Amino acid sequence: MDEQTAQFRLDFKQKLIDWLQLEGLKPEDILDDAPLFKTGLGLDSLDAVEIVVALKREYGIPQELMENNRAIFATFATLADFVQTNKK
Amino acid sequence: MTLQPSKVLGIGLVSALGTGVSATVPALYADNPRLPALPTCLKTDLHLPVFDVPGLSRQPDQPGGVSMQLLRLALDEALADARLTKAEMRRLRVGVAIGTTTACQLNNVPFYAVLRTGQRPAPEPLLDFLNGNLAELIHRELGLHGPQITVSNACASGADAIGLAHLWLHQDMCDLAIAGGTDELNKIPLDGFNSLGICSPLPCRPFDAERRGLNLGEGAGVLIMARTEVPDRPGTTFTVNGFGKTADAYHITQPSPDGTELEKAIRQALAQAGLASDDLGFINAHGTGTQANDLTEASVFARLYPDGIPYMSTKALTGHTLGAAGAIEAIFTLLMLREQRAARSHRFSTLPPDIAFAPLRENLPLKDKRFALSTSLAFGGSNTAIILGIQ
Amino acid sequence: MLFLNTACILEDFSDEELKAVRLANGLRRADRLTSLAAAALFRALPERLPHGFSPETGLLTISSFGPHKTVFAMLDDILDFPEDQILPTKFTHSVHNAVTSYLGTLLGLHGPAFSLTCFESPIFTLLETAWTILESGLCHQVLALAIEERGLLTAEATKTCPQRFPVEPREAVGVFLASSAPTDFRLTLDRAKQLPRHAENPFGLPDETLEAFRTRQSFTLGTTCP
Repeated sequence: MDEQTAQFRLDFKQKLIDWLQLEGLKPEDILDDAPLFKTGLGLDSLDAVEIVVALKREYGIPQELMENNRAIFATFATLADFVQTNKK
Repeated sequence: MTLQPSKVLGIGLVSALGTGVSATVPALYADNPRLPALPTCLKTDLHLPVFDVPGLSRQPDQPGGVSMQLLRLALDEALADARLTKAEMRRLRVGVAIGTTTACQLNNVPFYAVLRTGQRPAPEPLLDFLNGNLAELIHRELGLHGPQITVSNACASGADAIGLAHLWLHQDMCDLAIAGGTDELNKIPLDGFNSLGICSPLPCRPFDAERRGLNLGEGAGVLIMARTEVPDRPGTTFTVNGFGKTADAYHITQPSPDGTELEKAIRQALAQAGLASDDLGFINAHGTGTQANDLTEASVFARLYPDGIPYMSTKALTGHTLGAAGAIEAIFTLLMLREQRAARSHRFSTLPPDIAFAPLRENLPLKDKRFALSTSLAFGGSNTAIILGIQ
Repeated sequence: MLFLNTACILEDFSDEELKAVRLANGLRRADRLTSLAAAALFRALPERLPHGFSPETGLLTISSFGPHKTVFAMLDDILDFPEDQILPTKFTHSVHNAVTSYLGTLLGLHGPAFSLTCFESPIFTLLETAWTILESGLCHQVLALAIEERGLLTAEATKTCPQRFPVEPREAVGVFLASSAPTDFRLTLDRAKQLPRHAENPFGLPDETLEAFRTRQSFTLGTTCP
């Protein structure tokens, strides 16, 4: 993994912690391959819509790119890669 | 435990179908109902159709805002229908139970825009909020003596108000009760429901395979309820027969998919009414047009009625009127019983594979069925079932 | 007559206490109003949490100003961001029944749940409604909370209406557990008995009422006139 990606992922972990109020977690507690929903971070449907809006705000990613695109929400790494690729 | 029914001496309502019962009844059964349209009463960049009250000259600058204005229209009609004088209202013990969502928060954007800068905004919106608790306002204006409560239970508020009034009357806490709900079209829930992705950009299609979410609406409904000993008035005697209330304890926004608690609420209402499920002529469902709600309700109906039962959602006619919904829809249910005709569930055409049987595709004559059920499912998993009847 | 197992008015919740309650109970997204309610429950009924209530227990909440801080947080979004960038969690928490939903889910309560709001006599109204629900037979126990949070709105209400709010309403949570089974602590509710509001006390309650709750002395609760 190149340094730019590593730094992006670290920052993005902190952003998720802030957005989703994951109060007890620090970035190093989130494993790259951790599933986001059901297991792993155990996020739910409300978190999903929160993430979509937060990504629109923070990175200018249009909603259409995220709709019907469940694969990007599989793990932290899949989401981080998607955001890194598509952010404005 | 079985309770005596409460009588309903008068009804009043206002919705997208019009102001008053006589405007509402033909519209309930019309072939081509009015469609929702982009809002003109509030400023929004969202392209979401809504159902507004036609011909309303909006008066937001008053305690309780437009929600109170709508409530007054319904209340005045209900009191006139019940033929109650103001003097009688002051002499008797009269309770007030009103459901709402928008009128119990101070959500005035220009007011807050100033307040958050540290400046002092013009006080009127704050005064209108402090003086605008709806039950307190009615209690004060009519000089009433009796219990009063404003219910803020999201989409079940109006139904909950009716249910609480029914319990008050049974427990002899008052002789009469003004029970109902109101909500105006407001930017906060519009933006909020849109952020959750549950608003449809098209006219809503409750229970349909192609449904894409809800349309917001506005309106108010009021019932004047009384203890069962009160003499019948001329005309149809309406009753509230049962009230069931449960909570999913599942999630802050999603209903519990299997609907166990909704089913329990319906059975509670039946038990309270002393009725069997076969005694019901139809179900006026909550039927918002969202994936989750309609699926949950339909699953419960299929479990309770393996051979089917007539059901509909009237939200295709009025939109989701939030705190008013339970009250407006209770009145629709009473009117359908009076007319002995259940209204079709508009804009339903294709049965989804996961729903057992379709809602009504046509208006249906009721063969001397005197009772029906109205369900309301609140955000956060609160389930209310009201059984209404005619004598 | 209402039989009370628990009746206490609690105040002074630090941010650390609220955070600890959230972390310990998976109340991750809970806003401050909900956190206050949960923290008060943990102080008042620690031995009953989280699974010590029968699932059919009823749940009531009442508040005058409700989740006003979260409503204003949502208005911040509306003022500062495009309309399709409102954060949904703020909206879902901006309604009075969000607290009820959180607590009900935490405690596994399936009984009748109502969120109520009034400015006059919130404690009387809360307990009268608890009594109504118990009498109906819909459940045999009711957990009832009155919650008031301080913020920009309560401060502005005080500046705007000094006669009505001579001091800013106290931030407090009242926790009541009522049941059908008789207890020694009995409350008679008399709507006709009107008491002056003590604006400097939590929920405007008179000193005598607060003392009666504190000492678990059976008494008659009246309404507090505005």
